[in-house]
Amino acid sequence: MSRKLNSVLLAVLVLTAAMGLKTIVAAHSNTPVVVANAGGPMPPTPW
Amino acid sequence: MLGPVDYVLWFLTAILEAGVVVCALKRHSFRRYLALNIYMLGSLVVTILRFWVFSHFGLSSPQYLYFYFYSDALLTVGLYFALITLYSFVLSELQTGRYVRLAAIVLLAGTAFFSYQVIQQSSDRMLTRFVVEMSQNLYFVGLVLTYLLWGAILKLRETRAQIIQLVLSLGLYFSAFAATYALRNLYPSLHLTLGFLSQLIALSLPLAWAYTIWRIPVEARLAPSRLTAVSR
Repeated sequence: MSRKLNSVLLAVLVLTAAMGLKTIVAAHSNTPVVVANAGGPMPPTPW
Repeated sequence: MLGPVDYVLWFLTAILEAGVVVCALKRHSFRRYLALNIYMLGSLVVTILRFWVFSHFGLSSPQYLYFYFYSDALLTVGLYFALITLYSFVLSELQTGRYVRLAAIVLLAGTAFFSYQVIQQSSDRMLTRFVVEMSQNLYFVGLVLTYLLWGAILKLRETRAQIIQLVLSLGLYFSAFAATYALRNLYPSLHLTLGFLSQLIALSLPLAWAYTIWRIPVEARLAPSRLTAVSR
């Protein structure tokens, strides 16, 4: 049971770290969209 | 309007993605890295379909816009699971497979929940915004997971050269993504140059994977360098 809880805790910690990092990176936020999967140019976004 | 560089990068990406799958088949590594190869195969299909949608409807069409972002979200989830399988490789001796899967599902669900919380104020295009937000968040989750995996590799003294190379290439890929994200945020006027940069990042991953699978034998080992004491 404790190992399962550890897994959940680790997942929450990773999520917190990732979202914290994203917030730091997008400090002056108008939240740009960057895509780095597969080929093709990014279309103009309407938002 | 696209320039020749866009087309060259587009076709080069498709060739390299196909190259990864061909190299894996030639080296009998397709089943060993099944998730990675399925991701790369999916990526190749998306690259081709994007070109088809682009040539039929144009860059500014809603069809291209929706297809571009929805396919990106699917591929990001695919890459996330490919990364989780690398965890299974590295942690295989610790018998932690089910805990890794549990953590992966909780993390994916948590990312989806967080993304929904961010966009729930939006009134229009809610699903599309959710898909884009989820995809962007998953890139950052992938970045943190890759660095954690690198820590595990160092701690557990993993020596399989292919695994190390694959993890390092993912680290480079996600770090470059985060750097581009930050630069786009700091310098919005450079969106054209940074657009090329994100295409180069997309190209770097199949290049590194094709090199790894083709040039590094499965049995190759990387021993950490040791300091030798020289008697005087």
